[in-house]
Amino acid sequence: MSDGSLVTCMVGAPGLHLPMADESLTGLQRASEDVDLIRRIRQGDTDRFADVIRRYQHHVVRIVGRRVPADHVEEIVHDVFVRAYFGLAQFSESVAIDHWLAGIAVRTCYDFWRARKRDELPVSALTDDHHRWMDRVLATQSDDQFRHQVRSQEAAEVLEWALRQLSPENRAVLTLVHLDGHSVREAASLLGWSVVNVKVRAHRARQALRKILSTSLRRST
Amino acid sequence: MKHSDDELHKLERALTESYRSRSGLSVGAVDVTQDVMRAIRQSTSEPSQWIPAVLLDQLVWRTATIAAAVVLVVAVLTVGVFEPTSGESAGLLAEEFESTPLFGDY
Repeated sequence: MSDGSLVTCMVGAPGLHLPMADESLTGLQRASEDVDLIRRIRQGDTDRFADVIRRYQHHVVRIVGRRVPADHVEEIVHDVFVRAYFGLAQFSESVAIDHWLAGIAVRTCYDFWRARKRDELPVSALTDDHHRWMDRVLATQSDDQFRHQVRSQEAAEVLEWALRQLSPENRAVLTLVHLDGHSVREAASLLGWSVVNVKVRAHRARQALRKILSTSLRRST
Repeated sequence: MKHSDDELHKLERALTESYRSRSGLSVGAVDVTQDVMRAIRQSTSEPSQWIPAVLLDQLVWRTATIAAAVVLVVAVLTVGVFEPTSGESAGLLAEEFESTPLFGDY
């Protein structure tokens, strides 16, 4: 990935800018420093990896924080950096380090949900408050009313409830493509899957989500 | 009651905007630097604890594959060598009958 896409690679929609820890550095400076840093670590200066963590952990926390429950964020961020360290041999200098770390973060979160699925944790049902929230959203007439409903806690809970019913694969693709607003190609690059696979999954995941929401709407009326 | 596509779309849009507006936990609240560096140093200074585990894992799988292949070959050879043909078995049966005295032969 070229340097120009260094900062924009995680930006798919307004408000999704994921800034670096030190915004004062320009993209070029940062990329050059990163390459130098990674070279030193590869040559055996392990302690310099702490600089990589300090520089990019906010970036990783933002990605992980949107994907796993809050009480697991720290543990997953930890795993992301440990994986990154032991995967340094595979790091290509032609790829921006934030994009490379974003890929590891996305895949680590995907593994988290796969492990959860294996444990078969039950998905709790929606409460009356959630059903009432859906009714209120459908009844909104103005943008202000709509935005007010969007900001409520029930919105986040209904989304989490719906996502938990999806397979880990569908969840990962739906989050990247439909919620984060990445292109299919970007999502494929982050997940390490083929573009065709992500395209098919994105369509199926959306259909699955619509079916889940449709069923819950029918129950709420 | 069947909900229209518009209603479903509106709900999807609400959930998407909710996701995008979510501030989540404060990024400054998490600092894993010390823990990660400790884990890395532990792993790199004690290679004997994890490298043999990886090697043992590989060894077990490779041995199991080779053992399965050997058992398969032996089983095929055993069946191929020791299974008598139908002509041979008929001949042996005839010899058996001829060599056995009948009741009236005594």
